Amino acid sequence: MNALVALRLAVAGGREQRLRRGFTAAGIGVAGALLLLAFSAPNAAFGRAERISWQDAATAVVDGEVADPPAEKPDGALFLAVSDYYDGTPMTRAYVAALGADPPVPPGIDRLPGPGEIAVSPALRRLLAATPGDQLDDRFPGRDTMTIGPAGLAHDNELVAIIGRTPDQLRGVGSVAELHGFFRSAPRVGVLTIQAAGIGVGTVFVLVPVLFLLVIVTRVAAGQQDRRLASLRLVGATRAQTALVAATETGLAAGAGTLLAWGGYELGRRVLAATVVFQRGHFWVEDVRVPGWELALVLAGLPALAVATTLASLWHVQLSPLSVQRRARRAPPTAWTALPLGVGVAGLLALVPLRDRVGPETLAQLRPMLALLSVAGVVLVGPWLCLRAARGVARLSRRAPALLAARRIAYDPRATFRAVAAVALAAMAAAYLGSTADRPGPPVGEEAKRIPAGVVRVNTGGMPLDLPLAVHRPGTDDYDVPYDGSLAGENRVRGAVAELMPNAIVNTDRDPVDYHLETLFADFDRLGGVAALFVLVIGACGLTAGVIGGLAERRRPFALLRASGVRLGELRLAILVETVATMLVTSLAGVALGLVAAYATTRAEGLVWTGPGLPVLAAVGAGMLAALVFALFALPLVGATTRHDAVRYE
Amino acid sequence: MILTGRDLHKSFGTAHALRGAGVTLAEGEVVAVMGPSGSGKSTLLHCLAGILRPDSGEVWFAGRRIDDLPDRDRVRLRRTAFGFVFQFGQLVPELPAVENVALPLLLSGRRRRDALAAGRDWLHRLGLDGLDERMPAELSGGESQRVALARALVAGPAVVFADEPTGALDSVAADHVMELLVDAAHAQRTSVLLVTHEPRVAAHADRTVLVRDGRDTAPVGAP
Repeated sequence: MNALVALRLAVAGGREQRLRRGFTAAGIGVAGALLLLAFSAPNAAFGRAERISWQDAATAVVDGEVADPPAEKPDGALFLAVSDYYDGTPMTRAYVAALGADPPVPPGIDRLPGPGEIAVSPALRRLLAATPGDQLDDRFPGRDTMTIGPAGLAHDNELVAIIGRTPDQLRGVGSVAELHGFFRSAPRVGVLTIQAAGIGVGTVFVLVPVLFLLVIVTRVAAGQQDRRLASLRLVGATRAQTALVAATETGLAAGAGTLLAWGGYELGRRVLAATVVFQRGHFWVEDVRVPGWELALVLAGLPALAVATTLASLWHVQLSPLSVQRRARRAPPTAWTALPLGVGVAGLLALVPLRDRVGPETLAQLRPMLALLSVAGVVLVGPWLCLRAARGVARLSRRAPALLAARRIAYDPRATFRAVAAVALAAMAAAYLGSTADRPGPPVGEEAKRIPAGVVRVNTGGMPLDLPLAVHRPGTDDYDVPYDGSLAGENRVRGAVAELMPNAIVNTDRDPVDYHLETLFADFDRLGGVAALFVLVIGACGLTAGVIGGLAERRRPFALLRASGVRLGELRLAILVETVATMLVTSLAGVALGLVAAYATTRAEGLVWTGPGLPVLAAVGAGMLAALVFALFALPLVGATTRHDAVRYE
Repeated sequence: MILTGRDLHKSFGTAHALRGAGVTLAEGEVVAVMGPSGSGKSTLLHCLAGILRPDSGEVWFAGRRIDDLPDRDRVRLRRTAFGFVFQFGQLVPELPAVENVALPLLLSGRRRRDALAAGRDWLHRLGLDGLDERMPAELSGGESQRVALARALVAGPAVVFADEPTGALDSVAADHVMELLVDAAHAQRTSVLLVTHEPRVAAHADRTVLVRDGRDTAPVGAP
């Protein structure tokens, strides 16, 4: 038998086969697109950080050490970047002065602004146009001659200006650095480590549900396919020939699914870039992407994995074609399957006290490994949990549908778990992503530094501030400047300070206490919400595929039960009980593990973990319910697929 | 007559399965419907049992016309008054034998303990002692059919419809299943409508009806 014959057999399966292949292709398309979008998350976060890394040119810390910017140009430039605020919204003022004809240029502009010139971001230009001149013009002096492009902006709403100065204007100003190039890559430590840690573990948690979805859609209605292949073996097909037919069948569907995945990913990343707001702005679509090698790996891996899944599950057909008809039951899972999960969870929790003994690199390596072990543990213990759930349902059941459900679960708890695994793992991932890095508690002494209303506080770094009404705070480098409490009044003071002392740090009670942490954690919560929604979509798809797959496997007995007078509602109720009972038990275990992992990740970074909060738990619960409702849209299929005349000629 | 079908017509697309077939069944009577493959005998059984609705013609059960009943009422009739045995694949694979037998009672709301006791009793009556907890995949073909037979009879139906009940069995097992079916039916005055293409199986019936090209022909035997 050659490949052409295999191809002919693969496409000549009739309507049932075409439907099955279409289902597999659609499932692989969804799974692949979601996987690629999940893999885009780290790139989106670091891509954004890289775009504004030039702002840290003078103070960057890379890999735990102070690093100098790269020397790109022989002529240098003086540079100073200052954080500022407008009505609580952060802005960046960067001062530059060329020290020669060929100075380094930050990304996003073609040349360095000369003295009296200013380059602004589009959002800042809009703000300047909409704000009275006496509030902002003093801080952004000069002719607006250039627009900073996306290469130098974190996002489309970033307020940033590059202000051209003469060298003499900047010499002597504190914190000004002379440099010969700008950073083009982000320092991946500091506040970004929690993102990296969260994303690393989160990716593991997203990857596994996607893999489950892939396996489920590849093996949907596998019994029918097995029977077809067994009949080939019975008429003399060799193992290799059977494998070729199976691989061709799955390969065709997986190939179509891979194309769908690619298209879904390209569409999805544009939708995410246009809709997700993180740190006050949307992502650039160029950042929401996976590296080329990762894209190629996933697109090649999807069909390979699907084919491998099919071939691996062919073993009983290969062993003997008769084993399709008479298959010995596997031993039921035991409580020992909980052991890997226990080890994984204990390891994650041990990272908290070990934090100071092992370095951040070891921590970063250990955490995903332990997360992977824990996720594998959930996968291993899942069937046992399903079995326990089945025994509980059987004990409590008073009616036949519940008994049918309980017996179905107990008959093959592994298959039952496969159907709900995506939701359980998704619930785990959602709980993790939604509760990692909760808002930290106020640092010690923060209360004492609270800025009263009607005061602009100026930190001069020890330099005197020659401003009317400015009062020095004893024992500090701060000056308090009273104003009328209005936004306009605040901005006039800020403008006056910027003229006198460009490098001063100015705050009022309108500003977040710590912009980076404050907004990072709030936005991380939101991003966690998006990720939670994302993985729950994976779960819903997996559950739907599981319900449809289970139904396809039981068409004949269900149809004959219906012919014998069993009501459609009773069959639907049996499927509902079977799905809900196992989904609840395994998802609760998943949520518990997700919270433990979130606790360990957050505490190991030295942050305060305040729990998931009601909104996250409500979101997880609502997501699970939504996944269930979505999956139960498959229930109307029970009527159509179990019609007596539909299976009579099967 | 407990069951009467008159001038039944049924088409599937352009294929005419029944073209005026009919049959009568008296209380406690065992009637075999015979005919070659594709003659319409299974379709006749499905129309008489209320599984399919005939395009025209009438089906009467216990003095009541049932072919024009809504689907809900026909479902209720099937679960309360009829029992079914098919050729294969009718046992729920996840339920042990005793629960498969007890299933009609459980679906009717009987207490589980009582339903299982009735199930065990029927397994015993059909010579299946010790197989209560066996799963369908662990039963032989003959054992599976006897479990199916027990399930069809457990609720004390007025009529048992058997569609090629011995089609997957050897002649010895087939005879054994038929003897059990006929004895049990006679014992509880249950009528049996049996579809088969094997004369050896039809010989267990009180009467035989031949179906050819969707029409019934002259009865072969008389009660």
